[in-house]
Amino acid sequence: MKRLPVLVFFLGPLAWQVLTSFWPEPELTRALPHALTVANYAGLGTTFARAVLNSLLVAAGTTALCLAVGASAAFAVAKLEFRGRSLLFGGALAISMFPPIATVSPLYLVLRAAGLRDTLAGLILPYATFALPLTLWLLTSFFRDLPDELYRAARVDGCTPWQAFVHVFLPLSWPALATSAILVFIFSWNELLYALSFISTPSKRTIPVAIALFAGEHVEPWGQIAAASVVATVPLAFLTLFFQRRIVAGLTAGAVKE
Amino acid sequence: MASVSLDRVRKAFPGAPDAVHELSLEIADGEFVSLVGPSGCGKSTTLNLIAGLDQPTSGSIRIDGKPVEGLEPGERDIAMVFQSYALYPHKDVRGNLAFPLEVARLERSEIDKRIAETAELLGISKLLSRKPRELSGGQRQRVALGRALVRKPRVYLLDEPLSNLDAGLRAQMRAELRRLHQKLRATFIYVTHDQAEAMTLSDRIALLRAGELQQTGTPREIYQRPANRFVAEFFGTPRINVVPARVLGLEGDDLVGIRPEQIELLSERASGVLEATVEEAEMTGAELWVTLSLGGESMVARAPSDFAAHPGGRVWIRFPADRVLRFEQSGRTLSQTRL
Repeated sequence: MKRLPVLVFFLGPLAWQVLTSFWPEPELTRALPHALTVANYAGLGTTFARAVLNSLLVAAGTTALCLAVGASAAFAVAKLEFRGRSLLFGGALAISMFPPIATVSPLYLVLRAAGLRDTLAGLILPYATFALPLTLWLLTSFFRDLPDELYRAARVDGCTPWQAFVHVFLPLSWPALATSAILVFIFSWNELLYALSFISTPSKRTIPVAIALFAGEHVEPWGQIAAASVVATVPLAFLTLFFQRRIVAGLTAGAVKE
Repeated sequence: MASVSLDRVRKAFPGAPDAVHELSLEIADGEFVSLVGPSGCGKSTTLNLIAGLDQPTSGSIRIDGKPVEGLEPGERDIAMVFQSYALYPHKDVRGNLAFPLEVARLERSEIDKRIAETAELLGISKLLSRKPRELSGGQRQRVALGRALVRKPRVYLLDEPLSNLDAGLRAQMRAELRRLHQKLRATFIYVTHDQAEAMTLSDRIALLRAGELQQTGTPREIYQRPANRFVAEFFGTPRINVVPARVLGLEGDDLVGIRPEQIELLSERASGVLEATVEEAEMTGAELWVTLSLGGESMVARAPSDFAAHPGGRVWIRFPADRVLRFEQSGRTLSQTRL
């Protein structure tokens, strides 16, 4: 029973949110409702469905871009020798120190100049940039832990550095890739600041923006906000669980003598 | 098959003394040459330079007479076996063997044929669908060897391939390597820190110390006519005894070396013998290693296992004078002494 307080602490807010989403709107202030309802979900409508789709596209796009760039860069930093290696690594980490709010206006100008303002691609690019340092960090330490002799064996077997990466190191890095993917996906799924600043067309809004703009002039639709939050959280939770199963420990066992 | 020649090869890493210093070495076609030395002597670096995994700071390397500068490791027609085996953990044994051939874009039928041949040769045919983690140390070793063999390279580079095996298996694999070399007639360059391994396997040995070549020669030459004190002390178990000449009743102020097996122990006084005290006797099974005290110096002699030696006891020794090595102050060996 010692676990109960911890469970309440962590799952309490989520439970509250789920409960609120099934609570009839007019009875929110009562201790107990007369009956539970799905009206809050039904009321979300097609605009919100569109937002879910947008968020999916943006998060998936960001994750793909971030992993493609991050994995190859991390491999280079971990296993290859080239000039400016530590500069690249340090620079990428420095980016993550910027407070996002400070970058909103310059980024806005850049995106407008590039014709990407108010497009989903205009979100994917900056998201990937800001998620990259974490990806690079995670994957670099993972690649560093894989034995150097594996790289040298691949080179002697005739691989170019790129082939060694694709044929030997990528197949071994699923656990690290999955972990990075989850983190990047969550980051871009929940991002509000840029999405709010760079997107103006309602049909291009992502979930956090849609939820933030639910509030009308006179009413605060708590039930709907709760329903929308649940819709936003559930896929993420399942995604995480799914990937967690994929993260098989000991994938590299037997490569080298321990 | 090919010869390998190193001409004044130097490798320097920033902020450190040369890892390999002006190394010149000729390895003939089909020869089994060991690069030996204590850790950090530059033997593995040399192997990496030949493989093309590292570039020499200066000097040139030629394989079969052609300079290999600028050639990728995969273009040098070499294969390498690593100390950790470095098998690809996500591929089964067949995949590991096939990989270098697939990268070289060989025909599928040819790949299958070569895998079958190699697996047969090494006795791993039944393991082809296993993953490396399902193999024992000896089996992994064979697969690593197989991955090199399957390419039919001109030169085999082996980087301490047996050092992760237990003693029994190591002896077995040693014999097998020897047999493979005779069968393939390819050039083998073998890196090890184990002097006994180098002795038993090699046609020729090159001993390195702190990046500098000390001597090259057949195992017999290196053992009987070491170029200097370091070489003399590196080979042989127990180590050669190095003592001032006067201790052995010889003239001069030089140090002299005498191998433990050259010292004959007697339990009675005879003519032309020296008297010594037994400090310790170590039974190794086939023989007894006796530590003697003589003129204030310690020396080790090998005696038959039934020799009676008790700590504190008195023994007499004699040795063939022409087997004594004489070292200069610098450690270099002078011509062999005659009494």
